[in-house]
Amino acid sequence: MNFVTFDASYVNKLRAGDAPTEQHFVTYFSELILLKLRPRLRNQEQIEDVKQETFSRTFSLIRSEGGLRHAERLGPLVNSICNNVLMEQYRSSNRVEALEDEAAERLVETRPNALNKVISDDTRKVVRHVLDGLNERDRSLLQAVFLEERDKDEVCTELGVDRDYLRVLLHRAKGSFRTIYSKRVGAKAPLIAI
Amino acid sequence: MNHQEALQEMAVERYLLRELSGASLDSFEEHLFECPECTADVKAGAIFIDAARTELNAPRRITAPIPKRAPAWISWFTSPWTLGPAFAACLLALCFQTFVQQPRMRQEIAQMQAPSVLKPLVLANAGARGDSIPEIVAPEHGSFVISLDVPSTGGFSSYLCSLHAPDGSLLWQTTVTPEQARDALLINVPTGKTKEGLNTFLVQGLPISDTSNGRLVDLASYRFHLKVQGN
Repeated sequence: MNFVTFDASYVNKLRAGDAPTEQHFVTYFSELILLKLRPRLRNQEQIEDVKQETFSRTFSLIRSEGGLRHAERLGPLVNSICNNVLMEQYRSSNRVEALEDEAAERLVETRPNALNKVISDDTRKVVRHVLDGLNERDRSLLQAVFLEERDKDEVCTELGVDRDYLRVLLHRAKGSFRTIYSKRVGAKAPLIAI
Repeated sequence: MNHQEALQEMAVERYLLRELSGASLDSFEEHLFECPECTADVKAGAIFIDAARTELNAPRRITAPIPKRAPAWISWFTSPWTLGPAFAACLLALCFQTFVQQPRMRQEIAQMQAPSVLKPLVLANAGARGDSIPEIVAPEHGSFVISLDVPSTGGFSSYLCSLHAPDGSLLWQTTVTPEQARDALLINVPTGKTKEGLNTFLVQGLPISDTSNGRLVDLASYRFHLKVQGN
């Protein structure tokens, strides 16, 4: 996995309108914003609106005089702007409410999303391989939580495990997925094709 | 939240499971947007979950177990076409042994173990006279006794007594020492080892001297009629 470093050089390229850097920036943060907004907004259009507005404001700020003094704070800046745009989105739709657990559950976006659509066949094969390696209980646990979206406490009680077990199971499955994926298609290949 | 805290609290997993809320959610998201490692982990986790939803929803592909096949030459033995007749043959053999062979053997053993008076066929002088051929009636599943003299002329290290069938084939043979040859020999002959008809008993001597080159010398030949009587 290649990790990107947001430094002064990177920010300067963004300021100068360097196309490859802009493309990288949009790709990298699009996925994060998508993951952030998915549990909070009802539909794909709203998510897209907030994302576009976030990028627009971020670019404006970066290119303004004294907009971003510390390059390493680029990520938190994007997050902060996204939070503001999200709050405005809530206000505009008269839905300014605290995002408590219940509300968050209610607002979950369950339709196929952009991330889901671009998952490659290779990725699916690896996931299938990981799932096939699980025992029946672990598979049932993931199915109940992610597919049937049942109450996690209820499912854990039913299968005789606790919430920590579920976290560890996800941690291991995710780790296996990353390891196998890296071996199969190489570390440099993106997990999703964007 | 820093990266170490995120690892300790399994914040990535909590985030993916949507267990974070309020301040902990804000804190982790702020860290997430500046931490490439957590970003990569969250993205991988999200992709895994999305793909797993699809896979878990699909009918599970179960590969049918492939039965271990024996090599061709072994499978020939395990084929019903071979096993059926083989079992039938075994059963037949078992029945034959149980109902035919074993009773017969028991009867023969009983006969052999039962005390009986043996009337020996005396061949001692048959050769000398040469005018008459003695006859003996022997039980089919028993034996008979032959009494004969070995012409002990001396000069032989041992004697060979051979019984020949009417067609000249050798039926039975035994070696006799000079000490045994001093007196008349009594030889118990199982009827099963003989053939009905004119049998010949040949007595040969093995000379002591080396000049014979191990060649046997015919000493006597006794002929007798054998008649087998059924039980």
